[in-house]
Amino acid sequence: MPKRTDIKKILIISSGPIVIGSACEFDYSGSQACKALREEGYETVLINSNPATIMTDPGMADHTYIEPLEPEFIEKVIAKEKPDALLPTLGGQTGLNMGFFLSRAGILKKYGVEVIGADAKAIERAEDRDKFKQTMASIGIAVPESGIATTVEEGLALGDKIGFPIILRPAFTMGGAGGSCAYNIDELKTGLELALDVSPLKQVLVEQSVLGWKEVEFEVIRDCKDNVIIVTSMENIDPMGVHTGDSIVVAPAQTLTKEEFVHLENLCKKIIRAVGINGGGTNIQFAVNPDDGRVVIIEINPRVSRSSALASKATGFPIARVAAKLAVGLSLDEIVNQVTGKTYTFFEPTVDYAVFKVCRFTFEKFPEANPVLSTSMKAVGEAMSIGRNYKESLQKGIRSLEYRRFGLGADGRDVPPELSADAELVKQKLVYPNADRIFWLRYAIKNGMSDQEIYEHSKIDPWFVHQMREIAEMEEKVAAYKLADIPDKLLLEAKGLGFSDIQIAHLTGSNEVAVYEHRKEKGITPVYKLVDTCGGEIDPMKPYFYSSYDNAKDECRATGKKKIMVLGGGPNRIGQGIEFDYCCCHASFAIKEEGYEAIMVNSNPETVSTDFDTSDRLYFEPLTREDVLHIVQKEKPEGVIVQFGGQTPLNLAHQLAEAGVPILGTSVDSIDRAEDRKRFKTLLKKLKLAQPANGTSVSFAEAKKVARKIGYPVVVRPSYVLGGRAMVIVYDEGDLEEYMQKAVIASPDRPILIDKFLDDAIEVDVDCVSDGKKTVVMGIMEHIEEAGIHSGDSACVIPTFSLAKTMLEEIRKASYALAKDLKVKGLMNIQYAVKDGKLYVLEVNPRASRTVPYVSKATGIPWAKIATKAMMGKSLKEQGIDKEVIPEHFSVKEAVFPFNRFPGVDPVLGPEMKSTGEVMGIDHDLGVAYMKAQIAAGQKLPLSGKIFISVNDKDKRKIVDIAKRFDALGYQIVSTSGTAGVLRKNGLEIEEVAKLGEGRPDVLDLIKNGEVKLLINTPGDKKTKVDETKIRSGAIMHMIPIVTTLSGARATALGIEAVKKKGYSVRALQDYHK
Amino acid sequence: MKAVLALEDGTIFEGISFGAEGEIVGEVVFNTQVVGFQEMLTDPAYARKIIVIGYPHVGNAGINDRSNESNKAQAAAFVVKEYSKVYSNWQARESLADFMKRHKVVGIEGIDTRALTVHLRDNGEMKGIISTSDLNKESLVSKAKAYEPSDLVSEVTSAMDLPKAKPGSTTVIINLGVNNSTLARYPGAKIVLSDITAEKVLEKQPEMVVISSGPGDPRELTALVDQVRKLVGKVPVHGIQNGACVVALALGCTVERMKVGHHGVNHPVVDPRTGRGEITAQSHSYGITDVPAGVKVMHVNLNDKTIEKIQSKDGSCVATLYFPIDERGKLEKGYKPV
Repeated sequence: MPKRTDIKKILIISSGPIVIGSACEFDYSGSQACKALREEGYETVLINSNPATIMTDPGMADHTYIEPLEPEFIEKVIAKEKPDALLPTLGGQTGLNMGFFLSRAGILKKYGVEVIGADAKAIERAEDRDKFKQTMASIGIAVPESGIATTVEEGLALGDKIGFPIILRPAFTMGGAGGSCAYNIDELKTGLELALDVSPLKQVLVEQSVLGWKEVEFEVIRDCKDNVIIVTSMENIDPMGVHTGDSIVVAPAQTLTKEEFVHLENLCKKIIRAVGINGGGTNIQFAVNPDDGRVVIIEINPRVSRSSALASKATGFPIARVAAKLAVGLSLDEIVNQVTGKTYTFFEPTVDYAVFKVCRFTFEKFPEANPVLSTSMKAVGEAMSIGRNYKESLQKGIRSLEYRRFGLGADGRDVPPELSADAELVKQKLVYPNADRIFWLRYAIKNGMSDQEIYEHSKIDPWFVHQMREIAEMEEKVAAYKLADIPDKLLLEAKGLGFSDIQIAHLTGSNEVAVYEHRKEKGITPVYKLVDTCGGEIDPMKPYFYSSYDNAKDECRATGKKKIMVLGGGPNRIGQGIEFDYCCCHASFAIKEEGYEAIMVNSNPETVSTDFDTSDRLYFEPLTREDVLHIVQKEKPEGVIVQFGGQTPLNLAHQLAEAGVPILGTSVDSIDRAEDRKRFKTLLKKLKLAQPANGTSVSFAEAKKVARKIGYPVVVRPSYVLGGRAMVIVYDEGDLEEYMQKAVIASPDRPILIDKFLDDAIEVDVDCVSDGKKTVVMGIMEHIEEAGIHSGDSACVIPTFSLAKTMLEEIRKASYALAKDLKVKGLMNIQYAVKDGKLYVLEVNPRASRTVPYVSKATGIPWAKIATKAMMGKSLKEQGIDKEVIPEHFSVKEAVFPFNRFPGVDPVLGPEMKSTGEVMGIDHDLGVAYMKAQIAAGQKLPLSGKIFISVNDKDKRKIVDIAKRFDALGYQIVSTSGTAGVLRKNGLEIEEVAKLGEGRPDVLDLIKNGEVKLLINTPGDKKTKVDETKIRSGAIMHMIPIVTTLSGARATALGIEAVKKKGYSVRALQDYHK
Repeated sequence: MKAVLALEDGTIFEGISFGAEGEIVGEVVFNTQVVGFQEMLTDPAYARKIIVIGYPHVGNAGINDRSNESNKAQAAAFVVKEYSKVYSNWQARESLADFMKRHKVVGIEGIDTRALTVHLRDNGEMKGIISTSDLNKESLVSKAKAYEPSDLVSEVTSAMDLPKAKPGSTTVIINLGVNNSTLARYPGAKIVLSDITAEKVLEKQPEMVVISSGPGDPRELTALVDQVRKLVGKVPVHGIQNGACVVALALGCTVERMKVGHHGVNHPVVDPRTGRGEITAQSHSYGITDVPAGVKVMHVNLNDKTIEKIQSKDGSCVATLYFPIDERGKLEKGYKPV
């Protein structure tokens, strides 16, 4: 069918900030959608609150709104832009929920907007648990026995009927948020309370558990002609009971017969037709009983999803792009498969390789959280690996995760034998799914446990277990040799099973570099094979590449052209996420603009950088020394960019430079001068710049000395880390000792850094770009929260709002001097603190920072591109960049946190970064911009009602002014005794509430009953922490906004004041930067 | 044990033996399916073929009682990247290797089957040999070259009456190597030998005559083509894959060997007038390349634009080069959802 001509302008709602369960896969899908619709000639309007995305680049959509994803704001955009259609299926669960809500509320009707991609009825049949059950029943597909509860009592009654264990699934939430598994009545009750709380419809599905069944997923697409295709199947290695986002997933499914396969595919076709998707895709999840093949359907997601992004990258079939085109009336047989270049999207991709998706967790950031995997997703990122067999792929996947593990064990980083040989411990680790289960599975094998026993404990299919056993067997064969006398054939075989040089070095008592050189000499190097969508049946035009030791034929397509290689950031994690992918993509775009070929290396399937058409050639590979060097040897690039992908490629810079790889931009030595504390100190001294008193140490004794000299409080942290990993403020020697013991694990071969902590200082971030001669400040960002809160977790503002002109001049001068002395070529980020009118340099990072996309959106200049060209030798002058741009509007960046995934974890901020994502609020009024950022970040700040204020003693004096502002704005203030006393003394009328354990109703009751609409609670000392954690964590679970710093409270009061005065309006980014 | 695969063009692949040992010649074809090794192995359309599977793991689900496409292994050999050392599926009865040993199917693993697939794609399907006894390359290549396929259809054809569910007229299936998936769609059918005459067929008063899929070169079945020509107009005739080629020849179409046959489960077949279609399973090396006036082209392959379905003027005679996956009747019945 030809595309529709009755619609001209299409609104795309995207997914907002990166949170657990909704990550940069939606930047990938949204960018694809924007490109696809523009290709077809439609005018596009995009709304997304996340500035770190490629899709919000002004060139992607015609009208880009960085505004909160809330109905109020979307309606304003609709009223302003008057789109003909709304495409809600490309923005994850957020986009879908918004679309559904706008439709139900009659807003779409009011403005004459049609929903395309999946109509409201289809969405309802898929998402509303009752309607879904009915629809499945109507086509004879079994669902687990279940019922819908809207109250705890209903839920308990259902539980009684169904029997334990029971799965709880709240309706309309993403990533299984609020879901749980209950084994007893107590767990059922708390689970129900939580699930009902988080479901926007206050609905929860109480469901028969199919724990331990195989979890098999399909990606299915249907067009308006009723053509249906199955893009791929995927099988979760961790069976039912672990959220698919937390499971190790393989594509395609491995342990089904063809008959079972075809049966499930036929069910998929029935389902997509019955649900009524006729121009889009859906993910369908089944549970299959491993004992008798019984099948039940778990759920479907009628939209692009994390799984569809994975399926796209695993097969080369771009689901989001195709879904966008189907939504405007095209059919599968009309859309060209761009990877083959000569066939159409009406076909089913097939593969001749094995794909693994492995998950990156972040429990180390939330030590109080229960590290067991369950039905609520906890992973913050993922890596995908491709190999010519599962063993090769699995081991590549593990080293892609960058946990400093280099394969399935045998890499010198296994737990000590007393743990791995502890039969009871090993069993526990198999029974309770956890982030390291795969390594425990290897210990179980080594301890002599059979495939069947391991299966019985873990429910991981024996087929997968045996793959791991084959790896363990190879390990022993290799370990029998020294590197010099290992037979070539055996070495090749080991590499073919995915063994890394580090593993082989560990097994043969050698080192990584020696193994690499040995292999090179013997000619044991990988070939490159293609992801071509068709298993080799068609010679493709634009495939991408993976390495393999299945080496009868090398299909590498390296050319003799001029080229630059970009190293990506690997899996997302806290501290290193989409911001760096944004920079890498821009590097690629800039390289192409300069007439070079862009070569991308990355392992993250969620990203735009691993899209098949972002770069000239994409290598889907782990970012480790050997994997990168192999590609360098084939491609022989003019230069390699390591400064855009975050710490991942930066950590490789030394090794690559030593191996003779040309590193583009700022030299490795300069990076070292900035990172190495001693050299950094010398640098600052030379430039006459101040830094907080500091020292380094490798032992507790030394640390104690340094800290005493500096004076407490001090900030301690390991060197060479991102996101403030293991960084804390230490107030006394006892804490310091405790820290030193743990820190050794955080970073074994690098010293601990100790800095004087600057109380109540203003923190400032500066991003700048240099071509080696001239440096231009991209943006000076003033933090809302005081120094001491990790810069990634602070709200910040462009332009600055409280710093004096002279101070800004001083900051600029310091930045220029640093860039000059470090001979920066490319990007640099500097963190300053201003205390009592004095400027301190906290940190210098001669690389892309997390704030680059935010600064680019705030100033309207694509800085990462400019930096890339500067690194390639094009001066800033030639690029027309001569001075800092200070916008007239305010752009506020706010961090978004995953606390709702970790019940019981204290959501208080500190020097260790905890946020997963960010949003931006933009307005000509600072207060309004701040409020927009807060709302976009999920803080539903109330404009009236009761607010709870309770602060520590240090803050009691300063809270008075803030409380007075809230009082003047008409809020009723509720406090516990201490704070209430202080406020009353200052003439405020306060409602007093009991502290925990001092009578009811207490604070928690007010939170649970929704009586308070906002909490302002600054953390006290260790003694009060337990109760405070309950209160703050309670607020998070009940979605009541919470502010934990005084500066944040002040900004909130000012913001509310501004909004009450001026109200909200929306404006496209393109209009701000006209 | 070491095994060698040699192609008639001199290309050599070395690997490890699994399944039966020995030496076997045949035509080498690749299949891009991820699952379905048991079905391929037992489908008479693959009689005496050396099947190359691009997907790296083969044998994962083992051999079960439900997946056979005939009562024995038909293919000559399997060429795989990695034979799965264990199998895991609740229906599995034995390993693929044991089944291959029992049925004397030669296997070779450790082969870069992607490289081999791409080689066959670029150079066309060709003859090959696998041996565990003769590892001499020249000798193997010359043996591959010398291979002349026998009359495969007469080897695989057989006759029988399927049990009838209800009385009444029935379908006659002319058996060129019919598989169980096809039979499942025609309960009560009478299966007859490939050398049957039109008169004998008509004596059975069929409501429809199906010419089944099967191995070999359909152009050599000249006697059958003559008989089918006599059936046209008297009874509805439906040809599938090689059977479709026979029907096409009877209708005066041109049938030729394809450079690369269709062997997989992801072939898009569409009605060129509407773009509506199905993803289909196919395993054939011969195609219909030209049709005379009066014969309508109903479906084409969306990828390579080859003819996939034709129909005689009156619509009574149909030839399809695919098995629509949706219509695999046996999958619908007897399956046990919760």
